[in-house]
Amino acid sequence: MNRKLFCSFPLFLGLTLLTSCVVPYAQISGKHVASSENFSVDVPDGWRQHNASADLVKKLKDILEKRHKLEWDVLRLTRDGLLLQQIAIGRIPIEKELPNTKRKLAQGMLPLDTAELVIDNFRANTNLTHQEITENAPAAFGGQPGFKLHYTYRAEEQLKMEGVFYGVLVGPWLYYALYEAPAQHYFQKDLAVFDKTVASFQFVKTGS
Amino acid sequence: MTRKQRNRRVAARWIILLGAIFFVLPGCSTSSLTPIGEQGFQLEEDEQRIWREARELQKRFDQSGLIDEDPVLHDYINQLAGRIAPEKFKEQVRMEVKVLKHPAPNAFALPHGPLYIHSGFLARMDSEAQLAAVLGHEMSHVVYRHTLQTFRSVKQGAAFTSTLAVIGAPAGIYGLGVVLLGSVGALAAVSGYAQGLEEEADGEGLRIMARAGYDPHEAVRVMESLKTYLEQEEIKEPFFFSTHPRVEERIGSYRRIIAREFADPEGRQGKEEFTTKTARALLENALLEISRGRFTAAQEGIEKSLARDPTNSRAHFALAELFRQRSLDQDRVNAESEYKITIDLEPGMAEAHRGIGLLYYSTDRMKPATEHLRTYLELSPAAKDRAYIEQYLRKIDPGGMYP
Repeated sequence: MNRKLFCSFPLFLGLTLLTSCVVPYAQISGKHVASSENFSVDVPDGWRQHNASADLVKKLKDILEKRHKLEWDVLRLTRDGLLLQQIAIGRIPIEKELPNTKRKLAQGMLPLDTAELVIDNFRANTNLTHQEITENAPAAFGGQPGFKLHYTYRAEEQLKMEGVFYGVLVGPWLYYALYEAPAQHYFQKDLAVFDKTVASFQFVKTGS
Repeated sequence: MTRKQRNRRVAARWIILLGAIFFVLPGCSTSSLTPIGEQGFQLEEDEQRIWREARELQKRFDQSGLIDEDPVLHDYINQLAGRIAPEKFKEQVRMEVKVLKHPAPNAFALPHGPLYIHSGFLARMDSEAQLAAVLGHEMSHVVYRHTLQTFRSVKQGAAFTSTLAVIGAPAGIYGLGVVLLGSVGALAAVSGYAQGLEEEADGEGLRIMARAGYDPHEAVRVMESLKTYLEQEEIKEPFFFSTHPRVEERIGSYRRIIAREFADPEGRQGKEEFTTKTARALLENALLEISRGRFTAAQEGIEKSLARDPTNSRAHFALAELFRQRSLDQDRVNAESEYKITIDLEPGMAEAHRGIGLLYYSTDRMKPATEHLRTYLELSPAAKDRAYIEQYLRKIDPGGMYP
């Protein structure tokens, strides 16, 4: 009996590892510290982390990739599924071009100029239509002077999406937190959750 | 059938059609269908369906928010189209040309008649004759029913399923709507046909413009200008006009037809009126190019405007914005100089005060920054970026008038 159990352990371990590689969501909670990316943030209760590299969700990944570049997300969260609501937190190296404009970010750029570059990139995204900026205002993010954009667009099958984007230039990075959901019904539902998440965002080391 | 399902069906049909254009029909010959407007022309059953679906696409374009609504430009282009279009054709088709505010150099026609031309294509043109060449070419696709011919060839071909797979797979099932119905870039590809059909449109387009009294050589010039643009901006989008081999095909095809049919061509170019009527669209397009970081193309467009009218304050402003946003070696100095010229020409232009104020602010010249940013807010009390500007003014003078 014991021998049987011993022999089946590697199989069990193998299966566990295999499934963990392709499971698209992982339950996390509490404070999430991304030390190498220099930030921490409180994960809202009941939200799950999405693993975009999972093969199972390739179609989903394709859809999301058209909206914003996924490789820059460090943390991608959802409660009911990414098409229904998502919070993405990440950072963009300023030496990289944004996907839809050749204009580049630069250290020392004013928050207004940075916001306008992000807007240009958003408006030039040919995967989307009816892009509109409803708010562009200065806002602190991680205690630093940054900006906040409120926007809408139409995506697949003309579904109207609504989002909020916080950004701040710190050193050679543009840090961001965005929240997106279908404008009808879903967006308002979790906006307060996002605001709370943004308020909890902190840089681990300041000035880096 | 729900609207969603209908959209998907429309999208799938167009995907198949595009697949045929690029993968199945590379050597398709010219049309054998009775041209629209000729005796014996009758709208066929499958064609009626294609037209219905094309009308759905047209609605999407027209509601995209990208249509240039300037009545001067609209009337000018439509009067030109009306002058050059064959009479019989006009009786059968409700033709209307619309300008799409998009910097990609492209033009296309839907099978039931509507023609679309991007502002980015207008910006590459220098004369009415060049515009006539492009309109004539697109009209010819409609006259010779190239969409129907392509559609039928696909239906008869064995590659029906594989074509859908080739085109549809990368987009995914939800992507179909986006690729074809939601994105101007993708829809623009509608203008690409097999080589034989394109040559037919080239020939007829040249005849249309020549009959209206325009110099056919201008057709070659507009394509050469396009080629230069694509090379300098290293554009790789899959637009029909944007791929080099196809632009070169057009140039070669035009030259062959001109040599054969218009050995001693004469005709007018119509530069003056074209220049006047398209001036605003040209500058707006330059601002779109700046926002995409295509500074060389933007600068060319602006300098073209300034060559026509050196006192054009909007052009000087656009140049100043270009320099400020590009920020290369001498750009800040040049930006300052262009903002000053703009303000001299038009002291009440709020955006110019904003631009120079931000330039001074970012280079720590706080006194002139304060002066111009305050002027900006006075001239534009409802400015959308007021909160930013007030924040900067507070930073300069914490005890000032913007506590």
